[in-house]
Amino acid sequence: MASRHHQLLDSSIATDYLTKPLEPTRSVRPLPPDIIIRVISNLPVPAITNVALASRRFKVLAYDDEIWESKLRLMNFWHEPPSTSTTSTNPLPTRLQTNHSRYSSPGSPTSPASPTALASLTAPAAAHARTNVKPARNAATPSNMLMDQNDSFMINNKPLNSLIPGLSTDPFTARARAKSTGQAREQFKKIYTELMPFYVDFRNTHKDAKVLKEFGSDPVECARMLAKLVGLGKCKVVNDWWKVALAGTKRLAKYITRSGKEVKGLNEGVGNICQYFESASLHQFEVAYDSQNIVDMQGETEMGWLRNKKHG
Amino acid sequence: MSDPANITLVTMDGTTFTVPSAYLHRSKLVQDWLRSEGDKQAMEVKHVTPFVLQGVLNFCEIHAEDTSEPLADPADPTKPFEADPRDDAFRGMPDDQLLQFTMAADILQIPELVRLTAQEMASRIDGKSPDQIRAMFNPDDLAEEDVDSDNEMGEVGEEGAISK
Repeated sequence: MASRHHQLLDSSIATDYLTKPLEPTRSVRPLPPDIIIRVISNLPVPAITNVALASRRFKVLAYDDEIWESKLRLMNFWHEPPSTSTTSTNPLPTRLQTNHSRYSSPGSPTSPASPTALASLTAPAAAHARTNVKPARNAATPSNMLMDQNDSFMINNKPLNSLIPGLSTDPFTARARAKSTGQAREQFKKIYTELMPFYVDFRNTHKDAKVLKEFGSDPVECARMLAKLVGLGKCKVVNDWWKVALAGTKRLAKYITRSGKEVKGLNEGVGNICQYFESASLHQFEVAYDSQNIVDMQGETEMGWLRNKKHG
Repeated sequence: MSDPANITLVTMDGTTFTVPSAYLHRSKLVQDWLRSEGDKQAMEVKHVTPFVLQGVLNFCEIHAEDTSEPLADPADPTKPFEADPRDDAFRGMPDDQLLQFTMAADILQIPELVRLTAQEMASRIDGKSPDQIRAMFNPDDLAEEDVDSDNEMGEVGEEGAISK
């Protein structure tokens, strides 16, 4: 092959498309879609909109499931499609299992209860939590058969996949991937729309967080929201765009360097609230333990479990 | 059989590079080639210019001694990424060169370089307007129709040239 190429390039029959590769500093061929998708995956969400606006090809690529799946995975909201998953029908139980073991370990050293008492407590609480959480999860993920959907996502009346050129023909970009349905993006959008007000709220307040105001009366729901917010914090959902909202304030200086730092600032807010919430529920647990109130204790352990989902 | 301690790479214009094989232990393309066609004299690296291959080999040389676990998936968002000061040269290069390195990393399948280039590209895109983003790329990267026709022309043209 090497010699053939060499020969070709030396020959005088070179036409436009043959001379093009000769230029040492010009890109030989367009960037494969895979690469662009990978780059987009590294972007904060507001920057992705700018990429989508740059060209039609980029827009198509920005809608690709892979980008949004990776974000959902970061938030722990994504399960693999059934076909590739080891637990063929529903991968949920295994995940709950691992979370359950995580949940019980941090609980035991901090609580005053004896190990045996705790063990007998945690089992029913976890079972309770499992039945509680499952419907909620299913509601958040309308379909865990994402890849098997026949309806493909359309842009400009064309199926999304037919708009990603080179995907099937180019040997360098060929990969085993299912049709892009756009559903991962829809799902992310849903979560994003739901959580953003609470997340952005951490810019302004630390004590009276919106999430506590609205869910404070329902501790279990509040714990669930906090776990989601921690997940959202991993997804780079804000960037420079938000500086506009902060312009002129002292805190801008803190956030000014890079979007990574900025997100951290918000995530610190989320983390602080989580800590506050955790110690509050631990206190509740102790109070309930002292008064032998089993129902309350179950409630608090359940919240601890929900909160600890963030570590998963 | 070529010297097993060294490997010779040939770029698209016939320039050869001979480097210690150990440099390329992270390149999946090279490792696959060594397994299947390692008895050949030199490995051709398509679509890569000498300048870019030189840069990629520099990267490989810098990281040849690295003992870190090879990256299974360079796009894995759950893996934290610390900037390595040894890679600063890659961060400072012009946009068009970075694009080529991004592509070469993909072709040679070096996960660490793929991650580095993809993240550097992302950090450059971040905060730019659509127009500024457009300016970063070649027209070919932006227009889907051109992409297809360009590829086809290249292939047809090559065959046509050979038949002559």
